[in-house]
Amino acid sequence: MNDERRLLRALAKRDRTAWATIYDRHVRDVFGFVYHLVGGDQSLAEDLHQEVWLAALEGIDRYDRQAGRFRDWLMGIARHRVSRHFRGVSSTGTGSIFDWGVVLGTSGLPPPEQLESIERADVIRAAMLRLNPDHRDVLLKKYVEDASVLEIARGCGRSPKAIESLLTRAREQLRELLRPYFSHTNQGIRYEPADPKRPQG
Amino acid sequence: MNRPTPNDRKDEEEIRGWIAEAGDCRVETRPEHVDRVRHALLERVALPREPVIALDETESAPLGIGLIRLFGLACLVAAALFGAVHFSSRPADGWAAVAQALHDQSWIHIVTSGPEGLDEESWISPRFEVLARKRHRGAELWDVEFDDIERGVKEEYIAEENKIYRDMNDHGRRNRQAQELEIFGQLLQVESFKTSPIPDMELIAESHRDVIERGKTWKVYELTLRGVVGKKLDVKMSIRVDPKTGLPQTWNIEAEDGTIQLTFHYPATGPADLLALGVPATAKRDSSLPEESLDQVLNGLKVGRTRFDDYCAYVWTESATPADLRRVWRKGQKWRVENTSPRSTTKDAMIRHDPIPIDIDLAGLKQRENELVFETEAVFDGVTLWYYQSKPKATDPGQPSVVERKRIIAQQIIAQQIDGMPDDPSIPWPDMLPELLGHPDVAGPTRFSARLWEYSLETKPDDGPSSTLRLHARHPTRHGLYDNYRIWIDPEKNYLALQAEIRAIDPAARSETNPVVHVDTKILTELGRSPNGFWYPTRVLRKSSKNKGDRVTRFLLDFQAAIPDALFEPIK
Repeated sequence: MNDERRLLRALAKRDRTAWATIYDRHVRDVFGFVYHLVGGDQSLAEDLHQEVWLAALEGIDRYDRQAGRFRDWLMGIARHRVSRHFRGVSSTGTGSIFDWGVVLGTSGLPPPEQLESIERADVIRAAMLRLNPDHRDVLLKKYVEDASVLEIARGCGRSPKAIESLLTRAREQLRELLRPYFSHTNQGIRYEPADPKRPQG
Repeated sequence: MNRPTPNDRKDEEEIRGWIAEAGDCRVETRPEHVDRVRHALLERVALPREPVIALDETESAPLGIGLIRLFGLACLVAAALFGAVHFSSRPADGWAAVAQALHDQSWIHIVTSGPEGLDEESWISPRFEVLARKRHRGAELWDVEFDDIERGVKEEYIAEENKIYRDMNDHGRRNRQAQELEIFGQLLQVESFKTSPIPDMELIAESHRDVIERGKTWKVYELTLRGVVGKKLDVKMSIRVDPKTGLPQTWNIEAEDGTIQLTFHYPATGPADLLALGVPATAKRDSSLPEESLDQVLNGLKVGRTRFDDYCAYVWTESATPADLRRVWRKGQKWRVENTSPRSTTKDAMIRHDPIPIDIDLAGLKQRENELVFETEAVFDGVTLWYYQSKPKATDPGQPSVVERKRIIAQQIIAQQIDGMPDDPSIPWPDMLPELLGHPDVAGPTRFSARLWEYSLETKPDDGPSSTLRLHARHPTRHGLYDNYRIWIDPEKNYLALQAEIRAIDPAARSETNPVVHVDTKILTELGRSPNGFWYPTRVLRKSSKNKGDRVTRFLLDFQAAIPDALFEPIK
């Protein structure tokens, strides 16, 4: 059993240390994810963020590690909370978490039509936070810090080939996350705000 | 790697454009918010799960999930219900007797069985602050837990991996479980119980009746509880009590999706560790076990002193005569030390006493009790220490002094409040008590507060017995006393100090390189294990740099001896 599995067992048993550990590990990503999905509304983000953690605690028994990583499950809860907010569902109380199902197989972001009021950049930032941390870091180094593959490789003690491979996978994951929001045309990426009449899904 | 195609390059440019547009996605969280959510989360974690919630969720959960949760809470719920039932019905009758009867048990063993072949056994010991649990799926062992709350160590065996994991220093968990035990204790002190311990459940109906089965009469209490939130599901309970002992025999909990039955047993002893719960000796320990912390070790020593089986012990020094034998009693946190003298007071009788054979057993020692008179030396009644100082009878001229000690003719009783912490009294004859000798109280002999000592811990010492940690204790200012300890402790043997070394430092030689003037070493060369699984010394080798030759102290413990409370009452 690796540390993750052991931690999950402890979470299921409402082990205080385990919850403190998992909270400290993911709090910034979860908050950032929510923050961007609500368009940078600090107050709303904080409210929803707290709901995410309390909902996770109440629903931990239904987390299935076979279905994916805990972090993804947590982000799924965050996505669900934001969706509920945009759908106008009362966000008070923890509610049932059973309808989340296997959130991992669905888009990592709320349905596009719910994000129409959010800046395109925020959607991308949210998707970035939804990425595997290794993927996110390499993309940030490459495209925000403008580091070369060689520099990244030296910085993290890996081979340039490994970094190239990591970058490729990171781009693929990001593109996958953003696919419902941007259509890929020969003319480039096109942001498609939601059609309010389109059924939600 | 394939050379990138124009499309690949275009894709990359697109991604670059997105990310450049979005910038750094990381958000600086407000520390106050992070702390507030953390606090809210951990506060919620600390709350016990509420059975009513578990039952509500069974609607959409696989069959038995709610019941499985009830398994986890079975012990606590059962305990809690004692109070609930008692207070909502008749404070002075049957339930008070049940509560008291449970309180008097060293161990409560509960076998819980339910649907889907899921079985669980639990052991609760309020006395030792231990919770142990073993779960099966059908005939298959699933997992096993041994939670030593007082030591703050929880071990868990995962059957599918044949591996043991250990959690330590989780003060949150410890506090939570201590609270559970406290609730248990509170419930059994029925007068202090005021409100229902089961959140969101109320008592709907309650009755009791006598049932005669195969000639034996049982008292059966029947209760209906209802959740006050959610679906407001009903839970019916039926508790069968032996009216003679006041102890529950079975407890059925019937919910919408099945029935759980708890069967109670009351053994004198309980499991000592995971192995005693059926974990195979081949189980591997997680190599990433957290290292022992200093607090953990100090607490382990303390718990080793205060937690032990009741006993009657015989303590003597090898090559000594029976007159050097001492008899020591322990019951809970009470002790009594007795010295001995020959029953026959003639000179011949004294001389012909042989040294106690090295291989003598308990039965042999008990036989020789007839040759001896036991005289009380000290009694600790749990609050006050009473010394009994013997004075020799007036000597007849020309008689050897040994004869003059034939009987006590006067006793001086000195009562003094015991030093140390209330839950860890500093008993002044530690070498007579195996549990104290095996768990030295560093601060005890010097009477200085333990807080003044400086401690350090070496988790992988290069000396001392194998598998031990080395604790070093030094008093920063009180030179000249026994102020320098090195103790080698085996955490796997209830923190027994397999070797302890005390150094005296010459205050006048403080500035010298080696001011040590005297080294006293105790080595536990043979060990025993009590019925409840606590290790203790049976043979201790003592070396001193001041004295020539070693001294060996032996202990023989009788855990089956009758130990009346009157032994610990001060002699008037």
